[in-house]
Amino acid sequence: MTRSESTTDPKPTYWRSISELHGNEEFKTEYLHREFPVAASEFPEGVSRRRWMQIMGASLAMAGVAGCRYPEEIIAPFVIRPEGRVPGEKYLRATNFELAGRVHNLVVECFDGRPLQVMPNTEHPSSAGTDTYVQAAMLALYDPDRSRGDDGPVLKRTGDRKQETDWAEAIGVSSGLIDAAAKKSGEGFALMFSPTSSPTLVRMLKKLREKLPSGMLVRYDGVGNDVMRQATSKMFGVECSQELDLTNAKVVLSLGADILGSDPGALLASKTFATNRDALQGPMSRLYVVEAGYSTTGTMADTRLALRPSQMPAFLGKLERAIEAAGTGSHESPQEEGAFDTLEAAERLERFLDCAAHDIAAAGSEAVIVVDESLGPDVVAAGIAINEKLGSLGKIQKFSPRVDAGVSGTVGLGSLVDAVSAGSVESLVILGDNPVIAAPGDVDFASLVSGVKNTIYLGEYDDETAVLCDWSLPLAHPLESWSDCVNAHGYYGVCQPQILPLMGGRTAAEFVALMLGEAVNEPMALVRETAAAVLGSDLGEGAWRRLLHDGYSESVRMKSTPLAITGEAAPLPTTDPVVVTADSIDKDDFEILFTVSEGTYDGRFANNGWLQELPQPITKLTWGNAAVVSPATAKMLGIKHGLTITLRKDGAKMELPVFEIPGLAHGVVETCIGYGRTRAGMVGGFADYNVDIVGIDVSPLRRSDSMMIAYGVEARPNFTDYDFSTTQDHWAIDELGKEETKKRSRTLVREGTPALLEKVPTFAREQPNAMHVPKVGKYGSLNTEPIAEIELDEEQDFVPQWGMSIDLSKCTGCNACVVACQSENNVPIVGPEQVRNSREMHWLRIDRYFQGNEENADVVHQPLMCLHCETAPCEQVCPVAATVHTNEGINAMAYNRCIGTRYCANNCPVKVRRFNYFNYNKDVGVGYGIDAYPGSIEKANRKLQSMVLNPEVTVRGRGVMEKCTFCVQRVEAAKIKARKEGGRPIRDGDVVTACQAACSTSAIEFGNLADPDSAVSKRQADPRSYGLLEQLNIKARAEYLARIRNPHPRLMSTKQINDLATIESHHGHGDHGDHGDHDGDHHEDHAEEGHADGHDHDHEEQTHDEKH
Amino acid sequence: MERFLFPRWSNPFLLVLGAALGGGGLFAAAMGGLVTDPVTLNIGYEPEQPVPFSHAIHAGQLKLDCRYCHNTVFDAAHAAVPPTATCVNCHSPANDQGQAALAAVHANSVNLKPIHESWKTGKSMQWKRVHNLPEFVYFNHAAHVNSGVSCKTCHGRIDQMEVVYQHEPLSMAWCIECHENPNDHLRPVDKVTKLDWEPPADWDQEAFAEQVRDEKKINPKRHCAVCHR
Repeated sequence: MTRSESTTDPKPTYWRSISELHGNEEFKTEYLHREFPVAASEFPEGVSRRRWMQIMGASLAMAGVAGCRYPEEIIAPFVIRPEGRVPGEKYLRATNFELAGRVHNLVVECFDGRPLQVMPNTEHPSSAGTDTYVQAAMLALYDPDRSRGDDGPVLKRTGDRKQETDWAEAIGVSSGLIDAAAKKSGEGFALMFSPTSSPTLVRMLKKLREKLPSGMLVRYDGVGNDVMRQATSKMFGVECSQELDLTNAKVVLSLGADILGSDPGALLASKTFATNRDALQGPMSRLYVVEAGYSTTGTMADTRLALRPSQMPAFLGKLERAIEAAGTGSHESPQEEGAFDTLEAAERLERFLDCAAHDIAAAGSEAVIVVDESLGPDVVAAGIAINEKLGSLGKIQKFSPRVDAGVSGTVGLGSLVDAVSAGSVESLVILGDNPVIAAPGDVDFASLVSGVKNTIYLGEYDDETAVLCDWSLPLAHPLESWSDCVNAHGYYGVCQPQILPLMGGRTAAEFVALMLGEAVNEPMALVRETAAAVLGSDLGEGAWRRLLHDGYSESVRMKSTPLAITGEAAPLPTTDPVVVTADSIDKDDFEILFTVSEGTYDGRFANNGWLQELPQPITKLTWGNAAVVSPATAKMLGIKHGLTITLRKDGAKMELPVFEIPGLAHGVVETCIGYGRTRAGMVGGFADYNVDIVGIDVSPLRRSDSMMIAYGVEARPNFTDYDFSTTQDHWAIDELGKEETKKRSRTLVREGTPALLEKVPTFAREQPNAMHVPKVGKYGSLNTEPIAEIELDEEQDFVPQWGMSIDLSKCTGCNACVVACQSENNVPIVGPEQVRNSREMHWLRIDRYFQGNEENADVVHQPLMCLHCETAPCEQVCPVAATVHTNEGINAMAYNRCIGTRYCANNCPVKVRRFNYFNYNKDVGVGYGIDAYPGSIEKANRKLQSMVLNPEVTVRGRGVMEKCTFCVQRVEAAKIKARKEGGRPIRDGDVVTACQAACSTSAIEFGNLADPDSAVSKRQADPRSYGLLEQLNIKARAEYLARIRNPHPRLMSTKQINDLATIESHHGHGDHGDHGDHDGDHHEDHAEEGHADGHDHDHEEQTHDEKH
Repeated sequence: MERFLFPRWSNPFLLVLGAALGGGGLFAAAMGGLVTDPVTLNIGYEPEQPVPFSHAIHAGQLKLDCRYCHNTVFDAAHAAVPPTATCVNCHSPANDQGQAALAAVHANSVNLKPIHESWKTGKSMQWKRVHNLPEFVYFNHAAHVNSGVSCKTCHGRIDQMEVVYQHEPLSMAWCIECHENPNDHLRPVDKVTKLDWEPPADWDQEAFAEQVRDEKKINPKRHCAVCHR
C-alpha cells in the first residue's frame, strides 16, 4: 500500500467483492467481524428432524457398540500374493487418458488395488500438471450413482418399463442392428461419438465404416463446436488441434481465448507460460488479453481489455493493420496523461491497441495471437494467418492433425437431425458424453431420439440421454478401462485400468468391436494391436510392458507431417471496433458468452461433489451458475447482485441470477453451461427422486451455428431474489482492524512491475506505513518460544524444517491444487446450504483479490492454506493441546484430543481452520452434502464412496477442527523411506505435497528450509518473498513471492505508477537477498537495526503532511 | 395442602442411600481408573484363530525366521500376514486321489482344513487381528525394525507362544516411554528377528545405543504428528 493511497483513498486496495470495495455494511458485519455468517453456528435448516435423529442415532449407536475394546478386526491376506506386491503400501502406475477433451499423462497412486490419487507423470516428456477434472476423476470412479442395477449392469427400456439385463443380450441386439444395416450397405444406421484422441476407437470406427459404407457417423462436439477443425482444415487442409508452446514467446495476445484456463491445451500452455514469468531469471513475457468476460487467462494478463465479442473481429482487423504500420514506422511514445485504468473506454482501446501492435511487431516471430474458437472459424483462421506472417506459426502456435480426422465421411449433428426428420434413420448408437445436456436450444434431442426405432446409449450414467434410449449400457470409467490416446506431442499413451470395472462397464472401442463381431474384442488386445500399428511392427512383450510402465515410449509415436498453409483466411472487417461505454448499453443488444463450467465442464461432471463445491476461479461460486455482468450493466438494468434477469432471443428465454464482477465488457453476460441437470444423480440433481437441481440450464439460448456466443439478446430485469453459494467473502482476513491499524498494516497481496523490482528489489517487504514489530524468541522477548529452543538445540540440527513458497506470478487460480488436496486429505464436501453458512471444508482455498475500479480491475490469486506459523496463535488458545508444534515446524492437529471449542479458529489470523459441524464423512456419506441425502437412497451401495478415502489420513468426525497439515503423511512417508535407506538425510524433492504435485506452473514449492540449497530455501531468500501478516509476528513458514506484472510502460495502472514513484528501499542495506538461514528469522533482521523506528516516524510525518 | 414429611421410620434408609452413593463412587472410580486402563484391557487379548497355528512350534522349535512369513516387515508399514500360499509351501493338501506330496507336512490334518479350503477355493483366510491399534494411529514396522527395535520389544516372546496374545499394553504412554528413551530397546539390525538373542557378556548397551543412534540419526520424535496424521 502506498502512502498516497492509504491517506486519500479510504477504499481497500485489494478487495474480494463489490460490497467490500464499497465498504458495504453487510460485508463488514457479516463477513469481516463475525467469524461465521448469521446462523452458521445454528441447527441446519432443510434437514428434516427425522433425518437429523437418524444421523444422531447412528452416531450414538456406534458409541455404544464400540464399548471398551477396539472392535474385532479380520485380516484377510491373499491366497497367492502377486509378485512385488506389498500389502498396505502405496504403489504408482502410469496411465494416459483423455478427459473432457484434454489428454492427460498421469501416474495413479493405488493402495491395495484401489486407485486413490491422480498425479502428473513427471517422467513423461510432455508432462504438464493436472487439472480439476482429472483430479476429481477419482471421486467419479467410486460414484455409486453410476450403478444401473443389481441384477445386471445393462438397462433395457420399453415404454416406461425398465428391465435389468446383461451384456450378452445387449450385444446380441446391437450386432443384430449392424448385420441388418450391412445388408443395405449401412443405410439407416447412425452412430454418434464425441471427438476422440483414442487411436483404438478410431480404428474401430474405421472398421465400422468399412462394413457400413453408407452408414452415418456423426461426430458431435458440444463445446468447441468443431470451430478449430473448420479453421484448420481451411488453412491446412487437415483437421488439427492447437498447441501453444509459450517457452519462447515474448508477446502473447489472446483474443477471447482462455489459453491458460478452459482451453484443451491449457496445461502445456500454462507450464510453458510460467517458464518466462520470472523477472529475476530473465526478461518476462507480456500477456495481452482482450476478452468480454473474465477468464483465468484474464487474471494472468499484464494488461487486459474488456471488449464485446461482436467487436473482436474488427479489433483483430485493426490490430493487423496496426502491426503492419508499426513494422514500418518507429514507435513513438507520446507523453500521455493518465494511467491506463483511468482512461475513457475508447481511449483505452486505442492505447491498448497501439502498444500491443508495436510490441507484437517488435517481437516478430516471438509474438503470437490466439483467437478463441467462439468467434468462429473465419476469425480463428485469420489469427493463424497473422501468426504465419509474424513467423510464430509452428514455433509458438503449433498444430497437429486430429487423431479422429482419419474417420472418413463423418457428419455433424445437423445432418443427423435432417436424416431423422426425413425418417431415414432406423437405428442410432450413441457413444457416451450425454449429448442431450449440452445440446443447443434449436436441436430437440428428445424428439430426435424418439424418431428413431432402435436406440442404444453407452454412457457412464443412466442419464438424460440414456432415459430417451431403448438400451442404456454402462461405459467404463477411464480409471477402469483399457484404452489409449495421443497427446499434443504425438506420444502414444496407453490407458491401463487401475481396477476392474466396478459397474460392469465396457469401453467404447470394445463395444464397437463386439457390435461388429470382431475376432479380437478383448480391450487390452485391441489396444495392443493399435500400439503395434503405431510402432509399425509387432510390440514384443518387453516393449509392451515398458510402454505400460513408463506411460510413453520414444519409438511409439505418431509420425508428424509438417503442415503447410494451403488456404487463405477470409478478410477481416475494416471497420473500427465500437466500444460500448457504461452509458450506452442497449438492453436489446446484449451478448451472452457461454463458457464451459469450471465445475462440471459441459455438465458431464455434475454428479461430482468435489467439482460442484469447488469455488469457481473468478466468481468463487459453488453449486450453480449465474449471469456474470459488469456492475454498470446491472445498474443500467436497475438490478443488483443476487436478483435475476430474463434473457430472450428468438422466442427462447431463460432467467438467471445476476452476479456482479468488475472488469467485464458492458452489455455482456457471461454464464456457464452444464448446469440444471435433471438426471445427474444424488449430488448433481435428480428430478425423479426430488434431489435438488443444481444451477440453471442455459442451453435454450445456444444455437447450433454459434454455440458459445449469442448476439443480440434482450435483457430485462426480474426482481426475484436468489441466494448464491459463493465463498468470495468467506474467511475475509481482517487486515484493517481499527482505522488506526489500517494506516499501518501491511497488505496481504503485494504486486509490482519489473521496473519497480529493478528499482527496489525488496519492494514486497517495503511496507512504509507498517508499524514496528517487536521481536520474539531468542532475539530478546521475555518468553522463549518453543521454536527457539529447537533452533538452539544442537541435537535437532539434523531435523528438517518444512516450509513452503508460493509464486503469485505463476498461480493461475486453476483450482487443481484445491481438488488434489481434497482428494489426498479426505476433505468432505458439505453441500450448497452449508456453503452459504460458510462451512466449506477446503483446507486450501484460493483467495481472489481485485485491484482497480469497477470498470477495470486486475485480479491476483492467492492460494492460502495453514501457514504453519512458528508462533502460531491457534496453539496458544487450545485448552487441550490438540494443536501443537512439531520440532519440524509443522503445526500439527491431534484430532482425537480436539474437543471442538473452536477457539483456535477464532484466533487464526488467516482463517484457515475448518470445523466439522457434522459427521460429513461417516453419516452423511463421503462427498455428499446434507441436503443431497434423501431417505430413498440410503442404501448399502453408498458405502462404495468411502473407497475414495486415503487410508493414510485420519477421517475426522463431528466436532473436530481440521486444517492443512503440510501433507504430514507424505512427510512421514519420506522420512521412513530415508530411514529404510540407512538413515540418510531428507533430500530436496523427497516430499511433494498434493497441491504441489497437481500444479502445472510449479507455483508451489515445498521442502526443507534447514537446507540452504533446497528449492524452497532459495525461493524464500528471493527478494520478492514476503510473509503474510508479519506485523503479528506469527513467523509463517509458508511465504509468497510477490506478483510481478509486466505491462507496457504506457499501459501501467494508477497503482503501478504510484508504487514505482513512491516505494523506496526502506533500509538501504540491500541485505535482504542474502539471508538463506533456515531459522525463520529473516523477516526481522532489519528491525534489529536501531533506526528502523526512526524511519517509521519519518514516514508517518510525511503522510501527515500530505494529508493537509 | 399440608406439607409432606418423611415419617421418622424412614431415617435408616438415609444411611443405605449414603452407603450406596459412596460405594457407587468407589466403584466408578475403580472402573474408570483401573479397569479401563490399557494394561487391564489390552494385555492378554488372545482371540481364537481359524487354525490353531502355533508360533511356539514354527518360530520356537523349528526356528523359522519371522520374515519367512511376515516378509514385508523391513519394507512396509505392515508386517504382512502371509498369503495361504506360504502355509501351503509345507502343508500342501492331498490331491483329488487322496495322495499327498512326499514333502507335505500334515497333509490330512483336520486343523489345516481351513487352509486347504482357502487354497482350493481361492478365498482368503480370515485371521483375527491380535495387535490392533486405533485407526488414528499410524504405526510403521519398517521405521522401527530398520532402526534395530526387535519384534520382541512390542510383541513379547512370540516364539514361546502356543496361541498369540497381546503382551504389551500398546498404549500411547507405553509408546512414548520408548520414544523418550530408546536406548534400552535397540540392538543390531541383523538380530532384530532373533527373539532369543541375548547380548554377550561384555556388551555395553548404552554405548552401543549411543553409537548406533549417532550413525543412523535415530532420534525418536515425541510430537503428535509422528503417529497421528
